[in-house]
Amino acid sequence: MQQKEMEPVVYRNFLRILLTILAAFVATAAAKPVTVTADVGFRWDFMQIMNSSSAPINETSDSSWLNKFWITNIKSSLLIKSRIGENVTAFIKLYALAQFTVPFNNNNMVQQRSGGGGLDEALATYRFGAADSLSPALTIGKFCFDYTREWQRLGGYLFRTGVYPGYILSTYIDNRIMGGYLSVRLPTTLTHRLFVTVEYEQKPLNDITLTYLGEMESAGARLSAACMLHRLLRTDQGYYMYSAGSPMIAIEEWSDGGKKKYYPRAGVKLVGRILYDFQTLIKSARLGANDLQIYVEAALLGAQNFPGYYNKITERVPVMAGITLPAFKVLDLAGVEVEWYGSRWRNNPSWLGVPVPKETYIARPDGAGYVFVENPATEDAGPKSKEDNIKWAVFVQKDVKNISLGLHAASDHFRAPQDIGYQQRELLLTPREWYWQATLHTRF
Amino acid sequence: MVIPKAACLPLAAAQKRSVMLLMAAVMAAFGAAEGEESGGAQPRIVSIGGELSYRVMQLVNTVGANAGLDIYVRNINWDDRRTINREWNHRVSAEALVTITPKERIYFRLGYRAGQGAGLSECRAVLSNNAFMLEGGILKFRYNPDARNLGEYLILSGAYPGFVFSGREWANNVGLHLRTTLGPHLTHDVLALVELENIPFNDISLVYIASYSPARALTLGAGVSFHRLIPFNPDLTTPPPENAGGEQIEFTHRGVKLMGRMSFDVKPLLGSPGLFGPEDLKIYAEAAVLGVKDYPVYYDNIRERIPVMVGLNVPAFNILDYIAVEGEWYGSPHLNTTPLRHYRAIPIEPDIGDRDDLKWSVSIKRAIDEHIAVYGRVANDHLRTEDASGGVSERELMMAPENWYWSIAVTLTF
Amino acid sequence: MRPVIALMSAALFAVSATASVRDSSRTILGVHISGYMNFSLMRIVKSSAIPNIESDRPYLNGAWIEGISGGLSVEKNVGARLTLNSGLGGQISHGTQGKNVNWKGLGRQAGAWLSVASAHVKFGNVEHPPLELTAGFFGYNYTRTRDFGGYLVSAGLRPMILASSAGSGGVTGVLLRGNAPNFLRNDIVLTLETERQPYLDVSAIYVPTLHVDDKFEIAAGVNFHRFLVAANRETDPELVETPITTAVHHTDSGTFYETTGMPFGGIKVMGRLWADPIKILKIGGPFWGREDLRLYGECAVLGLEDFPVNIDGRGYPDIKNRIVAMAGLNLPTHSLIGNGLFPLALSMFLIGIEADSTYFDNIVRDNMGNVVSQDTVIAKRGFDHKKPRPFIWAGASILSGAGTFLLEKIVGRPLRLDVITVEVEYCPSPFYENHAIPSGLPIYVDAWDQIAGRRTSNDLWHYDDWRWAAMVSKKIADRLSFNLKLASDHTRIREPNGWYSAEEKLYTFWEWYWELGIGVGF
Repeated sequence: MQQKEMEPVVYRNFLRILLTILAAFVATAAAKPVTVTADVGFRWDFMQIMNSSSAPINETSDSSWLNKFWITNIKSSLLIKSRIGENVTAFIKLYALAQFTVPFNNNNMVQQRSGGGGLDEALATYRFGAADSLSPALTIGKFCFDYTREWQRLGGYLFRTGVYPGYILSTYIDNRIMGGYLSVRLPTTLTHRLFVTVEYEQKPLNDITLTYLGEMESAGARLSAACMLHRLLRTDQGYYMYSAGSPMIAIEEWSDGGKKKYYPRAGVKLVGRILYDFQTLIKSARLGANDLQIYVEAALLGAQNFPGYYNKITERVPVMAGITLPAFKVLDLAGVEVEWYGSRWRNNPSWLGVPVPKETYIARPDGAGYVFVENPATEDAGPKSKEDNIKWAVFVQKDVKNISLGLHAASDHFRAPQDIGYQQRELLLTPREWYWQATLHTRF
Repeated sequence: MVIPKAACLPLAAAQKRSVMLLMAAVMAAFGAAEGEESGGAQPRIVSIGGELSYRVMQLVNTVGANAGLDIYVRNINWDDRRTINREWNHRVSAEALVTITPKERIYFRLGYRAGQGAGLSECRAVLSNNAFMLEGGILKFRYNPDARNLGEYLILSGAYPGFVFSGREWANNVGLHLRTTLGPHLTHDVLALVELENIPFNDISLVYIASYSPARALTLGAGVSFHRLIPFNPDLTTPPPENAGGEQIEFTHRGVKLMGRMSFDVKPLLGSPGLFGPEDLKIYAEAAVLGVKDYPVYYDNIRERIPVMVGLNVPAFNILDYIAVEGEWYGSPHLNTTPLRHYRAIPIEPDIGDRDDLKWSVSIKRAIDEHIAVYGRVANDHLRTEDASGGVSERELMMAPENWYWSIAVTLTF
Repeated sequence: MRPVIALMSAALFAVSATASVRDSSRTILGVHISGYMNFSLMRIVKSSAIPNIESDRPYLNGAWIEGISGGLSVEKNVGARLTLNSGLGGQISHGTQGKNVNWKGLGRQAGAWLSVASAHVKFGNVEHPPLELTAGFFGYNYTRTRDFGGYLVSAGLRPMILASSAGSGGVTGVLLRGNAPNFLRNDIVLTLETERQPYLDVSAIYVPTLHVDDKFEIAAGVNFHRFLVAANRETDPELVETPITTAVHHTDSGTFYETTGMPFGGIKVMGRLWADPIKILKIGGPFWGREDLRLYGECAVLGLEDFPVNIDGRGYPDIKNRIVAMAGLNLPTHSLIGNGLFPLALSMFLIGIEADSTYFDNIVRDNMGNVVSQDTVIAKRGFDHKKPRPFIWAGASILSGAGTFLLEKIVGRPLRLDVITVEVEYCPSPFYENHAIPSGLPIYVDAWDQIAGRRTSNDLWHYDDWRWAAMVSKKIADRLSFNLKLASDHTRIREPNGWYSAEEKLYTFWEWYWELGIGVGF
């Protein structure tokens, strides 16, 4: 097996780390009281793609086959919560789903009907010391985590982006991470979270990522900052996949003074977010709880430059801003968001694990798909490479007891839902391409 | 084109008798039950439980490179072992269990497991009292409580070809199970199982297992399985004759399997010192015959159809609940592959000699408390990849002595 | 296998014989949990289905299909008026071969699916709400049938897919039900199409039902099927209308086709009635079971508008071929009848409908595999085959009936079944409507004609105009149910993701199956 460009940091010490974490659970308590509660919920998403030029696979761009395409998801959830003693809580969320979506691989004109069920979330939390929200806590499992507000459409870059290539997922996609995190509040206004997560969606699988997220809330402002060492601990299989002669995937190499080097999938991601609630300054009983909040978020998807695809850092910095408008309690939420992301390429997570984007926006002369990138440093990525830099979203929401009805229109990083995940390809390529979505869901 | 005559025939005499038996049983049961319909109301206890599990595994050195590929490959390419060499696997899974206890002796249990795929894990009705326990549905049944990984050959195996499994905590059997304790120190298990895992499907097997425990330290067990005794489609259970050794020979998936096991706790001989844990110093063994009858060419030597497992719980001195070291010898000259795409009752994989005859496993467990437990394993066993439906792949991943893996799992049960 | 079924049946009877329940919960707060477990054993006694064009063998003759399924449903009350209902189901079974199933689908299947996800709101008096609204994903049934019927929601239009779903159809949408005055029920349903392509079209259904206590019901209904089309006419014109080629003109300058478009949608109308003569005539007594003599019927027109035929003869030109009617009757469950006369009549019927079949023997092939010569053999069936059969069945039935009657006298308690139902359906469509192709046109039956001994060709097919079903059921302790069905109906196989396959497996009225279901509800 060849050596890689980046010195491997395999997680042979993973066992040691795991045992240390497990030691936190050691207890010799007698039988603990157990309470189990169950809850139920459902969610119905109804969407229509109004305008999309995304063509089916192996066809040219500017297709209209997705125009006026309907998508619907009906999902039912069963939630089981358990408290074991004072310090341990467990949470299992099972789902069942009926779905009508874009045909998988986008290469079939007939709508795809699917269904199924499975595990939505499963996590256990152990609180050290007193069982209150100020105590440190360790959470392990597979679960959704979001440091943004639940109604946000753009942003949430920390766990919704990749590095090399820097793809972005929109926040309507439930973001599940697998692994665990330690949460500590020190001082009480500052929350530190240290994540150790396992890559289970994008190849190469099972790489381990270390992330620090700090959040501070004070005087109406909420500041979040994060640093992610993406794929810090890489499996041997991951290394093998990127070595010459690998039969697994097409590798991407570049030349450094005649010496072959390889693009990594690993990298450093930085994220910063600030939210300010103007109701701290403007107090009015007429304003709803979510009104007049302004928030900005930016990220760096890969701190290191590489020649060719990643030679300009500004092409790896998505920035978004949003504001919630006064809804005066007629609605519970009304907001607008915009994003700018200067990447030249179509950033789709590649199921092959290729660490670079492959497709341009240039149609092949024979009409069978898009031209692959040949000279990334100098090559023109195509007519939409700059148009797709801008994304936008507008949204409203009304809550009645446990039920929320939301409506939004957006030109974001929309990818068709596939089970509780998503398909690989982004379907909206310019700000004129958009969709709307209505969501009815219950709150636990 | 020939239409099989059997497909067009009406019920045969044996079928008619069975239908009559069914009708009689149904009517008798009606009579027994009728008067109870308007019985007094009693509380129904509904409880929900669950289990979460996080497992990390690393396939340190494996050769099953073609496991999971769609096409059948006749020659194992040994160089391909690198493709899943030192592969990691992380899995989070959860199970929800609903138990309904309408009366003291009766309960219904529905289990739904999700993780990699989803589906029913348990779906059974249980009636029990001091004399017997009767359950039906999707069962979780084990007859060898000492075996941690290897063993459990009587049910978790095939006959002709005689494939075996390991590491499966429960065999998802569907059928009926009756357990009684007639006779001193005896436990009898009678099962009627429907094959829903390995083709051909729907065949019924009858199993009888007896366990004898004259003393707390000693358990002897024996069992017989009339594997696929009642075939649903005889043409599939006993396929057309094969050309073997220049002759046309009819092989069948049906067979009689035998099992014997023992478990001996050494501690009483040492005066049961308190420094040992309850599982320490247990020696156990199990052997089985996966088809007592010989057939020419492929199954002409009964010794090649006898897997033998021996295990020892090394003293853990209460630091761990157990450290189980197990070894298995299975001298089959064929690959341990389950039939998936064909119904032929002969092994189809090429012979790789005796490199895979020996298997070993070291399993540990530490219960943190009554809800949390940590499991660990290092082994070269019959590990197979799991698919989304909860089934396992046809090929195993460990084929040579230098192949092995390790895993750690943490479970939380409530 | 059958003795095992008997043992299993008896065991499960024994398990539940002493069970009686009342709703209560201990540790579950705020939600009510219910569920079911069901073991199903089916045997397709006769079927002409062939898997694909490479094989002509009627592979389902005698096939066993078995599965075990379970489901959980959780109901949560949010206040006095709002109830949320959420359910999931799962099963372990194995697939059957079909025209679109590859080998991977034939193995063990463990599936999970969404069974219900709905919210229910009551308006007005909470105890007897004059108005109710249900929204989400749920089943809707306006009938009281047990196999056929429910055409307004369960049947297709173009193609005219018929289902055996006991009248139930899936609704993904909204049901508004008015219950005032108390003898009139008005249902208005808006639903998305989820069963067959093209999906997500919107249909509007109105069903007014006049009911007199629990004695008599008469209802009518109309379904503006797919009045709102989801597909984009510009990008998917064939999902909006199916093109029909009505004529071909060959000229010197080329070939020209006359075409017209046929929408998938249209109007369905329905009428039904249901009656309980025992209550109407007040002739109740120990002779009768609780549900005896109930009779019902439904008639529907699946599409009021005629369309011309395609040049290959397929189409919907005649409204008479789009009328479907069903009728059902609950037979007396008295032991002499239910355990005696009924099985006697049923066995004679099953023997009588057995059709002769043709098979080929002594086949000689050439080097290319082509048949050079063969003997054609006609296998006689029915009463001409195994002549003692009718007498054996008759004797067994009489013995069963008389024996049960005497046993009742001895033990002093009734041993009757709960319900014995016989249903029939008639639909004269000459085509195969139950296909999965996204086209509004029917197709010709593609099966193995076991009488003629050859594959069917493009013939009009009327062997399936009549369908029938006989069902018996017995419930123990309100929880354990035994159901036995013998039928030649529109049975389909459930796929692992919970949706039912589009293909029917029975092509004539003499092809049938039996199915035993043992279920526990809680």
